[in-house]
Amino acid sequence: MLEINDIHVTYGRLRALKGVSLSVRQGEIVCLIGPNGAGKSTTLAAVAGGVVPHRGTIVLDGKPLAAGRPEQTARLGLSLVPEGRHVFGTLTVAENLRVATYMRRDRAAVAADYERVLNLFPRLKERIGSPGGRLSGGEQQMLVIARALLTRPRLLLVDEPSLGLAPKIVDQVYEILLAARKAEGLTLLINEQSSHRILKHADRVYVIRNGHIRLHDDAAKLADGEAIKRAYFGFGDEPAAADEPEEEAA
Amino acid sequence: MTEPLVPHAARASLLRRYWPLLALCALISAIVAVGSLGSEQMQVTMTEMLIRLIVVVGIYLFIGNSGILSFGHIGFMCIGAYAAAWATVDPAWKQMMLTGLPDFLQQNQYGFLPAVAGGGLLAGLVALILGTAIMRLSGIAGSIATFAFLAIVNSVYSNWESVTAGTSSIIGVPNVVGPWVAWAFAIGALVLAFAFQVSRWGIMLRASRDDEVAAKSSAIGVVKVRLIAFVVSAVIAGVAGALYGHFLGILTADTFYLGMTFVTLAMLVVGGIGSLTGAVTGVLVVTLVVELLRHLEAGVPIAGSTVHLPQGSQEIGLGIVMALIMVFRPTGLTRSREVPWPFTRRARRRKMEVAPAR
Repeated sequence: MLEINDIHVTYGRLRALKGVSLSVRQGEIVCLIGPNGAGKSTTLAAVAGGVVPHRGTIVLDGKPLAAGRPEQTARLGLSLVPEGRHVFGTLTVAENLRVATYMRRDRAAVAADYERVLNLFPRLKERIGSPGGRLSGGEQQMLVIARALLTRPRLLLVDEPSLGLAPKIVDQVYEILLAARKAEGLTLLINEQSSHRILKHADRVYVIRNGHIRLHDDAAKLADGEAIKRAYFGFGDEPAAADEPEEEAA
Repeated sequence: MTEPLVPHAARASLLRRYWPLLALCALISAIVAVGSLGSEQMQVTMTEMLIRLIVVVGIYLFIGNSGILSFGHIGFMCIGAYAAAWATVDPAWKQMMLTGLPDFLQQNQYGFLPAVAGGGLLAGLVALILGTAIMRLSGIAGSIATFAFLAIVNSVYSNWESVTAGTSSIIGVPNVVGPWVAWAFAIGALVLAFAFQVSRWGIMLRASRDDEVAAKSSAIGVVKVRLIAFVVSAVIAGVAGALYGHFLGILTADTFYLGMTFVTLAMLVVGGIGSLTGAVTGVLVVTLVVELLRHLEAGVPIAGSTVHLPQGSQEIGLGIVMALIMVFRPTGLTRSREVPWPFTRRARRRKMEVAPAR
């Protein structure tokens, strides 16, 4: 469904992605893990159209995506849940959700979708009239996911859903993501910093570090975590080749 | 424009939904009704206040909903004022002084309402062209671009002798705008601004103000909704300019420059930049303070002798009042909220706003 081929992204002199390729098949949960600054968020942002790769292609269902047009990419059924809980702080929960449906053409289906999504998030139902900015961290994360679902995505990109949340809340967030996937027939591409939780849920795992994909395998084969640890921290792989020249550019 | 709300939120009845608009219209109408019984001077002050109200509401429609500060709206006011004057001034005068005007304006004289409409349209057209170029800029870059636009408009209108009469003003603009005409347009501006902010375009725009990244990933065309608001608010400013010309009876480009820009933006900020109620409050409060100080400057009789404040205390006093308001209410007098619905019990309202977060 999604094919990323050898994309390169630079921020000024900093090379964030140095040839990342990955693929997501219909119905899968694919997880991209890596340490801070590895390029996880950049990869998702490039797919969503928020940053423009200067090399490489991103193909959705056989058609290349127009780079740098996030609102058009979203209309193709690819929705990004950005990192750090981007709620619309002064809009009510209801408006936060409604606003995601305004650019849809299938007006008739919107009302039904709205009900269905709200049923996935009983907590949001209780707070429907509160401004988004007044919600707790966990509620905001739920709201952002609910809002993304209302754009009717086929592929949902989730950027660090666990960031800054208590473990109990993170579990809830994942439960919801899995329930939503089941209910909506979603395909998921999720970024995370830590691997132990995601290994339970993911079909396939990519490990990214320093702008390169270091490891790619089925989640089941990585269950012991050793290979991930090596790729993640860079133990024992090409000691000098990849790591030195770009650090000073930052 | 708006669709029925969802069942859970639908408890908010229609009346409640439009309550802020109704309250503001009632307030303005009451002020005009009382003021129209007052002196000639009072009528003039009130008319000027209402025209400023229209400008500030127009500016609010863009700035308040988009979060982008615009210094350029007084430029649209200027464009609207001149365009309307071109239509209504005596053709004999135009043929003598404004030799560069196109024939349809130079040879004819049009009525007041078509002239006002023309002023609004021209301002909107210019906003469409300008906005297409600058609406993708966010934050300070966009604001500076609007400021540059203001400077350009001023310098064109001050120097294009054959069309604007340059530094010698356009005179003989029919003096037809009194308090009730200004009131009618002010109500119109309030209705338009409120309708916009509860429409889907308004909600999308406020979403982009709160978080541009998330707005784009929610498929919102941020540039497009900004442009819509920019054009609508320019039309309102253009109409206000047309009214102002027909209130003053004489037009000079410098009327529509830094002084007016400063006063209108100050009104908006003092009242609260993020709500229509704030825009209205700011206009009323600033006008009241200015009038009070002007009175004191002119002198009040106390114990047989006339006491008056020194010249210039009007400006200084206004500055001090605004600084104090900003210190104690950084988000404006209204805290950028709308007039609250008066029939909710306090306890319930509190509970709704700060329900315990998990």
